[in-house]
Amino acid sequence: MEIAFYIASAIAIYATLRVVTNTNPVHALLSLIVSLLAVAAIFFMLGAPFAGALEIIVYAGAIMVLFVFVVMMLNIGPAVAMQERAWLTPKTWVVPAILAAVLLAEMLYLLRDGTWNQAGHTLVDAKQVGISLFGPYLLVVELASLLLLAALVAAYHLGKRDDQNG
Amino acid sequence: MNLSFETFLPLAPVILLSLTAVLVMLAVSIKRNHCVSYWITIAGQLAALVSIFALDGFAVDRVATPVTDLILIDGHAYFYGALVIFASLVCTVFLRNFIESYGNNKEEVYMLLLIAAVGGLVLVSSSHMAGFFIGLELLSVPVYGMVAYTHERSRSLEAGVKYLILSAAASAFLLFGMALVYAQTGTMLFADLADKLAEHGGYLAGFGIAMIVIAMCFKLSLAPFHLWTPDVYQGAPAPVGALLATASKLAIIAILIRFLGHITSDLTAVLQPVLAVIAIVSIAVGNFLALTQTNLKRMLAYSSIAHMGYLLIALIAGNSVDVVSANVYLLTYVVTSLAAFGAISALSHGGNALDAEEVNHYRGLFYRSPALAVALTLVMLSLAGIPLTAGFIGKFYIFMTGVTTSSWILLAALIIGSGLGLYYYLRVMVALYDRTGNSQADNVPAARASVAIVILLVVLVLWLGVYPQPALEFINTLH
Repeated sequence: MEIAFYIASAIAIYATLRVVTNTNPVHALLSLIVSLLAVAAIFFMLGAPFAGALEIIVYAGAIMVLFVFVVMMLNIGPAVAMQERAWLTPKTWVVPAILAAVLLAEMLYLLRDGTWNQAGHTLVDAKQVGISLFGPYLLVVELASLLLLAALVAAYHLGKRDDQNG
Repeated sequence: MNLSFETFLPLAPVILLSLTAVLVMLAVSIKRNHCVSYWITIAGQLAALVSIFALDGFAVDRVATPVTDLILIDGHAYFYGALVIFASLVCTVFLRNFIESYGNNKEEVYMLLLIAAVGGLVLVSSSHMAGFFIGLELLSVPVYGMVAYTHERSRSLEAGVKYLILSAAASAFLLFGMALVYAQTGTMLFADLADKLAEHGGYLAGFGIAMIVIAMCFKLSLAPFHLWTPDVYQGAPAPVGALLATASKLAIIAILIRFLGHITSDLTAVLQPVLAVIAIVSIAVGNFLALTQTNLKRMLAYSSIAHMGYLLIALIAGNSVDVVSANVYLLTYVVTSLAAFGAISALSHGGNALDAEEVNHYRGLFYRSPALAVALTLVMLSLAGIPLTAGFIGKFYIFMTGVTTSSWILLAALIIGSGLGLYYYLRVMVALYDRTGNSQADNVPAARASVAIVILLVVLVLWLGVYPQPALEFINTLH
């Protein structure tokens, strides 16, 4: 009964290939979202629901939506309306939509079935993740905060223009 | 799990450096002042350096202390840690006059430098895959920002992006390798690795370890993973180049030595010929490509590829890593490279469009700034491995390793490489004393603090070359 796992994996690989081969950034990003959703499904089936939820919230949710917005905002100009219309053709969304629908069907099937981690050995829930993050891996959490600080400072400096003060 | 003050005491240098980074951030948020940020950075690094000695880091009877599962602090970790802090301290001094003339924000670079030093310290003392990875990222991410710091120069920005993308690829390799090793062995602790590998050994874990080693070779810019090096060294501001060439390489070598010490001998036997080929190719590629360079930074980049190739000999000749040779070589290489990049930094200014990086900039330097020219001459001699300089002692140790383990092919590569190296180092020296002079560099004043540090480093180079006994004895007592 690991068929769901293989379907999700196939979707992840196919969607990622579409990301790499697509020349239109918005098309590529839609496929990337599907790919991330599929990876989240894999996490769920491996028995790591916390990682799966984070994958959806952080990657598919926050980061990807930000990406799509930025890409769309970059195209400011008279051609925007036409481009928007062009993006709404079925060619853009039909494949990602089908792939996402397959994932949805898989999720409904698994919910009905009740076997969450059919491809994994053990279930690692949020509580266990929290205990190890603030137990043996405490130092990693602290160092990760420094890493974020470094990335923030570097991004701030690189994003700042010469003619601004402060 | 009980965490107390004593648990974290051995981590004092890491904590002090992190604290300094936060202090610099707070100082900047209150009022931007280049001088204040600079002195906080210097004081913090000195405190971290002193704390290593205050903790009796090098005491002979010292036992390795674990700090949680992630960190294992022993004499070697403190030795590499002290070298990392020393290198970043010297880079701070070089950075000051470089960044003084830079028009944009100046203070952030010190914060990035401090965080990179924290990453280096974590990396050299990690005993767990998670510590390994987070240390490496902590070392790399601030450096992306530092390489691209002078982003008004297009080359600097290009170098930053190049380093970011290629490093990310290397990190992906590293993570995938770790995942494969974990999938097979079920452990992320270095200490358990050998037993578990012997127990569940298989292609998956071997493949994973190969990927980890490839990622390390990438970071060390060993051929054929070296393509990014010359562009990044050229684009990076000279003081950042110093950090890249020393602290970053040193920390990665340190973890590679530790990691190789924990894998089973049958895997080492497979890795050995591969790494031997990488060492020989690095020596050849580095030296041959350096021959035609007219840009001093690019030349140093190619020569660093060759130097990493020499160093790899100490890691792979015979059946085990020759840690003493590697440490001696690292010590001499770090001191010499710092001085070489320091000389470039002393003549470079962040406000200018280019660093003083062409060999032409140095034509007739002796008649403008004799002290710096003499220092640079000695540095080039040391890089070439001429007796009475530190470089000779380092190369001598590598040579001895090669002889005692009868690795004749590697030795041949070392000798031919050194001979080739002499040519391009000599070319720089000849330019220094060329009387024809050069109009474009005549009016670049050498920064006094940087020149003073370069001279100090050169004194150290000579001292290591003429009277290496104390340093060698010290390295021999490390355990």
